[in-house]
Amino acid sequence: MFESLTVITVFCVYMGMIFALAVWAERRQAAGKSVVNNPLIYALSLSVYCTTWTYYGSVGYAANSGLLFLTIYLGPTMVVMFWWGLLRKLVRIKTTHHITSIADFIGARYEKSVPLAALATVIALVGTMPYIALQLKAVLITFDMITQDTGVASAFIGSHVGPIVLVLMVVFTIIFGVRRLDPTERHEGIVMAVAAEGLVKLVLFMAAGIFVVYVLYDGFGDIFSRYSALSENLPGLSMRSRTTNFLTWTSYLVLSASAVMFLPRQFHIAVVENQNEDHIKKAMWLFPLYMFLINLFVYPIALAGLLDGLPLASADTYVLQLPLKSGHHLLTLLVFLGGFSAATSMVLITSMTMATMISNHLLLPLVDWIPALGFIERHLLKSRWLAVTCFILMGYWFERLVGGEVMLVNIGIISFAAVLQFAPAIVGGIFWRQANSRGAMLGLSAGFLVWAYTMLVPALVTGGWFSPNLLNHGPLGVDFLRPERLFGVRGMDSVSHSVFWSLLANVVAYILGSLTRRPDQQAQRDAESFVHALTDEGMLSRGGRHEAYISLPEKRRRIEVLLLRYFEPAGAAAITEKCLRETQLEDRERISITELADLYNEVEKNLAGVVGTAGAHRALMSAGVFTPRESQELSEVYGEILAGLRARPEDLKRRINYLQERQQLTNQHAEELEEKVVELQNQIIRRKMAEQQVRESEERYRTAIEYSNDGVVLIKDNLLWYVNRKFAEMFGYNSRREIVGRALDTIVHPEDRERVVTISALRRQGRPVPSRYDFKGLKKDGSSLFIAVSATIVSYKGRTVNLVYLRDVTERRRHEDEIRQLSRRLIQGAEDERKRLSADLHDEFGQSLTALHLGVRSLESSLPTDLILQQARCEQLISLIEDLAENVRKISSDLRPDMLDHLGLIPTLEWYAEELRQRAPGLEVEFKAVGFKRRLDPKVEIVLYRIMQEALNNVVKHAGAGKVSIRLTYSHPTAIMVISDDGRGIDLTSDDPARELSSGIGLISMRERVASVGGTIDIRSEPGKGTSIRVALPDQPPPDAETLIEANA
Amino acid sequence: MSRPQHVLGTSAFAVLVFVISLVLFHWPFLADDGHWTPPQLYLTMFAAWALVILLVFLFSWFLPPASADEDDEPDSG
Repeated sequence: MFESLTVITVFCVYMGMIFALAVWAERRQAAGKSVVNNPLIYALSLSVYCTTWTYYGSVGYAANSGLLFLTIYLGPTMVVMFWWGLLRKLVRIKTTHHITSIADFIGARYEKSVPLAALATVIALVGTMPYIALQLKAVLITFDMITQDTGVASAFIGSHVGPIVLVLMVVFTIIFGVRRLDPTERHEGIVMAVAAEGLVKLVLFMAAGIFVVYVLYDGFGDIFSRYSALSENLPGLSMRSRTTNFLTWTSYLVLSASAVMFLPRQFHIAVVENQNEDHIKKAMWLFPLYMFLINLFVYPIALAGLLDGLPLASADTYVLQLPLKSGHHLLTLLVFLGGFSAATSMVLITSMTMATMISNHLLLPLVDWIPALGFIERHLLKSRWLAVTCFILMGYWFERLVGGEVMLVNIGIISFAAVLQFAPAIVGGIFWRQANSRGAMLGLSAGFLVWAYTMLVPALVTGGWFSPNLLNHGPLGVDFLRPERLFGVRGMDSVSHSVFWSLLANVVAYILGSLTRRPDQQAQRDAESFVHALTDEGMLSRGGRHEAYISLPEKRRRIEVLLLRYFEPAGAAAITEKCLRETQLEDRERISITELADLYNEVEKNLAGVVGTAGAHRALMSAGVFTPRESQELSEVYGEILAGLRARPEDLKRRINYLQERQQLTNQHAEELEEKVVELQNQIIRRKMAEQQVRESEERYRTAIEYSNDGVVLIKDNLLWYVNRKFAEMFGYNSRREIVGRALDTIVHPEDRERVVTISALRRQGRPVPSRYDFKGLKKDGSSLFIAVSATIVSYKGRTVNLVYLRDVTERRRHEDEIRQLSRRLIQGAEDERKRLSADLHDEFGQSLTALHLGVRSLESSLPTDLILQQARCEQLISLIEDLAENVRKISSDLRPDMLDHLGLIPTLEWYAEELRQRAPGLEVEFKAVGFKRRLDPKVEIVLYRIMQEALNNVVKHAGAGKVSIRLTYSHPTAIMVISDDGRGIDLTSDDPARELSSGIGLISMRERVASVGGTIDIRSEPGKGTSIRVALPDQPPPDAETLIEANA
Repeated sequence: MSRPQHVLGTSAFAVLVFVISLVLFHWPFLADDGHWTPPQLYLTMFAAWALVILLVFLFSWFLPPASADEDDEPDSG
């Protein structure tokens, strides 16, 4: 059980979702992308036929009367095959005559009779009121069943559920269907909402059915077998009196077959909201299928309720009671929501339709009749809101009146019998041309009165409004007039009795009334347009005056006489011929009034080009082209057209002006289009010429590629798509066919395969990759070759491919390797020579100088003190020897500092930095070394030393720097040295020979030295932004150190 | 016009389906109702209903488009 507040909240949330769906559908419609304009939605929206009567009442009826409930759905199934003729005709008439409701239809068919439309509205109003009562009753009963209030708010809601539901229904109806005036009376949003609710109620009812049949019982067989075993002891499911049942059965079939089309809501959905006649075709079987599915579980649920011992009196709510009793509360709430959904969609559509009918056919005629009520016209929308409110309130009142005593189905049948009265007038109206307003008025009135007497009055007696004596003994005790035994007819149930008498009275009065009055010409034309709505005849009769009785030669003569005032005879005849040709009247002898009007307009148009529009008009008026009778007839034709358009003359004039402006704009647009067509033709010619040039260019290009000395390949998706002859030859293939279509890595040596494939893929993705690079290729015979690549992206045959030029550089690479080897040997030899020279200078020359220094010092000390001159000479010699020793030491250090061998790299570099500070006082030198805890390989140390030496020399000589920093870091197994200055920098991309001379040789030397120990060097520099050299060397040079040199500007 | 369309998409077929449905939907009354049990009634009626829906489906499937017969009276109904 739920709190009332919870149930109301869930319902409001659900309706909010449905409203959002409706708004979405309306927005799609406004955007020209209608979602409602499809047969599935149309068929689903027709399911508004299945209301709470189906949802709850069918189970109740099945429990009480067996399969009789099925007639409500079998009747529509029996007539759907005639929808293609009947319903389609109604839709066609609706479209032609802008019909907005069933009352509007009846009024329009019968001489546009206002009283008839008003009578139809009253019948619909009275007839559908019980149906609204049925929905409210179902909602109130089920609401009460699933709620149990404990809180104050819930208790309040629970005690005022009737008014609250009423207010919600009114609010939802106004929000969904009557929030604005729509001249077309078409509401895509509301149709979408109804379709969605149709789906919801189908799914939830079937869910309840599956639960009962397969969860509470073991399937259909189980329910039926249990029922068969206990049927003698169970109430309900009576179907015993054969005669009565047959009549009842047939009456219900007739009622439902009529109701599915003539209930106001069904007429609105099926006819007024129809957007495409072809939708009817699918609805013809989809709608019966929907009814089939929703009724599949009705009978089993009824049997299950009886087997479960639920009271027969509450059989209407078995579908809710069964899950509730078994403790499945969520399912109970969902089933209730489905029922609520069924009720709201019905109330919504019916109230909206009824509001339209009440305002158009009751209120507005009343305003015409009583001028003092003219203000209503200015508040039409509000008057519809009021109509909605009153209508739902009346339904509630009826529910209070008789709802407590009558089953849901019985209330619904009252409505069905009421709308049955529309059937003769509508069906006769579209198939019997002699039918007229008198017949319709008499038929509808008679049928309605008999219905009210035989069906409504007994219901009111049940509700306590009249004495039961009226039913038992007739009015004033006249047994002959007993409402359910009229004229003494017995042997019929009350429904069959009412159907019989009301339909009989209706049809007889309709036929007699129609036969006793001959309709005038206008009424005949109206009738024709309805009866022949699906043919051209119907369309023509609506326009009227299509008889070709006017003599064309006579009119032609008059026109020529008129034109002779302004033209030569030949010119006048030519213009007349032209006008006849334009209006397609050349070969005619007689023409209709509308054709004469066309000819008149054409002549006026031609003449206006000469004498102006006003002059042409005056001339034609004076020419007497139209006789007074013809003018009168033409006026009537225009009047009919105007009436058919349902527009005031001012509106029509505005519309014509608008259309004329549109026509001018269209003409202007057409001229612009013509110019564009010419321009396009020129463009096409230019394009063809360009294409020819492109073809020739392509041919030249293809030839150039074919005979190129470089290999050329197009690579698509890592496949060799196209190769030239040179390419095949380069990789040792005999023909191109051998290699085309194979993967790129076929021609790449495994050492470079990953790199090359990656670069190729990245290029296709548009990522930045080097356009030129080398790789090691693989020939067909397995031998390798070195390839220099130049690649780019091109579009070929609409696809993005890599265009790659390849050149065999194996020979060049061999020479480069040799040069590199020689260079390394040269560097190594020079280094060895320096080392030897340094050692010689230090060991031999240095020792000799030391000995000489000692010898001269000894000589000086042995000289007598008076030999001052000799002593002075010895001092000079000693000084010279010391200078010489210092120079030798310096030269030796420059060649190769011995401290590098003795003290190691870091002290040597620190010493060199200090030397530099003294040599270049204006230069700030910063030195820092981190992580050097052990010595590196001597080869590595000397390379680092030489690079620092070369770099710092460059800084002093060329950079003009104010600061230079040297940073050394050792991180096993790599030593990294970074030398940065803030000098003028160099342009590494420049081909300037001066730069090559000044710094290029030094840089080449550095690269070779680094390569000789397997390291890397990265030089970054830009003009004005200094230079940074980063060297990374392994602490132990590999035996066959390869080189990878990068230079980034 | 193909042969099925010639037969199934006609007003004659619509009338035939109507007659069939009339007979089928009244079958419990045409037969001796003393022997009908609720399960038999249920199965018979729903089987008949399904058959009629199938026939209507065939009829609608072979109907011409709505715009095809404006020069003539409707082919059905």
